[in-house]
Amino acid sequence: MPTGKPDAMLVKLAQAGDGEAFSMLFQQHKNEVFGYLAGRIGNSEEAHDLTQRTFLKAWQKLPQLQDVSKFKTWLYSIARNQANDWWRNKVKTPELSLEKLEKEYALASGRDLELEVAEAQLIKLALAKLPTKYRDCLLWQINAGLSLSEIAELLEITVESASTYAHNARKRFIEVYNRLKVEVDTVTERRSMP
Amino acid sequence: MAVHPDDLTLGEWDALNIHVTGCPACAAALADYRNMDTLIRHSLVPNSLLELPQDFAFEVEQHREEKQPSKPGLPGQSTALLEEAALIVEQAQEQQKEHILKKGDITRLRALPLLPLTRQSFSFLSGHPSISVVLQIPKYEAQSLQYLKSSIPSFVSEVILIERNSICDATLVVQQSSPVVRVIKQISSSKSRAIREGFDACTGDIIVMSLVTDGSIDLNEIPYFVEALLAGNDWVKGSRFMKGGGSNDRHPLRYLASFVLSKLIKKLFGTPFGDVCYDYNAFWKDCLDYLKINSEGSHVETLLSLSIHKPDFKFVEVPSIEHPDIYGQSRKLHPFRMTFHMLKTIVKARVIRNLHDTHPTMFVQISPNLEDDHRINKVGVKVTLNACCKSSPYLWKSFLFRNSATVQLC
Repeated sequence: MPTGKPDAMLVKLAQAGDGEAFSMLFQQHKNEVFGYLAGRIGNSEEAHDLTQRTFLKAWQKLPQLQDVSKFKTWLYSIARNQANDWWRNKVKTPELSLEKLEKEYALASGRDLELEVAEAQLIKLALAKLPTKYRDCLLWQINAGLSLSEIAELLEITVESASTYAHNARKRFIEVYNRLKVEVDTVTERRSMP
Repeated sequence: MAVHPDDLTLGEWDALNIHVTGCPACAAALADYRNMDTLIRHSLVPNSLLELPQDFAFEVEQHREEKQPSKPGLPGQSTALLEEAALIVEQAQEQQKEHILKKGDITRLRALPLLPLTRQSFSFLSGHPSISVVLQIPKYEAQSLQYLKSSIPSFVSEVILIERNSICDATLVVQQSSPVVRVIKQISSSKSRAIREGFDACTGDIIVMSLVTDGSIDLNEIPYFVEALLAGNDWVKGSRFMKGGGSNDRHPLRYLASFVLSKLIKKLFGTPFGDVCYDYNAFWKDCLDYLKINSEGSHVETLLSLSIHKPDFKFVEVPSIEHPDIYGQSRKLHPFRMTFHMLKTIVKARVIRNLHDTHPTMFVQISPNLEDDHRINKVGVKVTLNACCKSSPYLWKSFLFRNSATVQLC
């Protein structure tokens, strides 16, 4: 979708102080920003909090945005900074671990909802194992729907490099995901044997 | 790695779509990536409702006090602008959907509304139906297994190998491969029983069948079969005679013979398939309920597609390319021998069908142990003929061959 055109009007109104316009922007982008942050930090509860902080920050800094058509990329740069700050300040007690994931898979035992939760955790664990730039690139492309040129702008690289990053990120993610899946399945099978 | 519509120009998108349509490997890779995208998106959704923080209202109020409005404007103008903006947002989202569809998302794995509920049990993990591939290991082509190991696509859930009088040990060769490979050894001489066992062993939603393992079929064409099945069809057959299909067989006479035989079969049986002699099929697992697999002979796979009995069965063909056999001694017959064997099979099937239509009571129930092929093949058929066909025992015997008895239950 060509960025900026539908947002531009709302952003201009929000810059003029219209809270309702900003609420609409929030409704439009909240799930994508949450998805990015959840994948970035691997913690859904914290991502919830960070999403709110991102939008609050965006509201505060909105008057500084010169080009309203670049609202989306600007929003994600704020989200990325929030995630980076979180990593710096947070005591790193990882929510994710393979052991916890194995337990969740063992408990799931065929129940779809629990299996779905365990699967989400596996995705986050696989994402967590990617280098930060790859993770960002993947999440922006898949969750946020940013184009390669927008990703390049955020990462301050060329579009060709962004395309390479995107390719390597996917390839690496699929490798890591499959490897983790095999590990979890093996352990789950072993545990289910008498 | 283009995903966003703005990543490529229109011309580049068209070129990409054309390439992907003609390149099964790229289509499969793209399908893998798109499936992973869906998986990631579904895994990263908020569990609870996301609302703006309470500080936000305070900030808005503070902002209003600090900043003077740029233009007074007419009353209600702000509301009208907001409504207009909301409409534009909605229209943009609709356009985005249309835009993606127009660009040709090759993974059109969204035909769920066309499918009956029994076929909607996809594994949510992969986003597409699980696929079982049934293959046969021929007698002399041990090296075919090595080829098989390297050619199984990653999206296949399992492979069932029917080991028929094979001189190699398939189990040893496939132990190191993935996905899951199961070997079924054909103990009796009954090919149909082995095939039935192979089908029974399948756990996938879709079964892809080919009883050749000489490298002539390309397993990377499976996504096209799956796409056709997801579009609402029951049975998909590969065809060399369609646009986009072809054959690189080293014996062009065999290709010609296949073409002629296919036309003949179509004439005799009114089958919907244009290429009946090409053994590459895919179908939903529930189609097995309507399949009669009780034929013997070297062309049982051809007769399978003739034996489907279900009203409103939807068949379709997709183009496929036959490659030359890569390893080992080819199991393909000389074109003339192949033609002769096929004609014999076809005529026999046709005669039986005619008899079934005209004299249905000739097909009687056999005494117990129908599955005991030894009795049928070695001893001959011991049936109790009822009064209707007692008058024509010669006709009955004339098409009951000793080693390939075809008997149907009434």
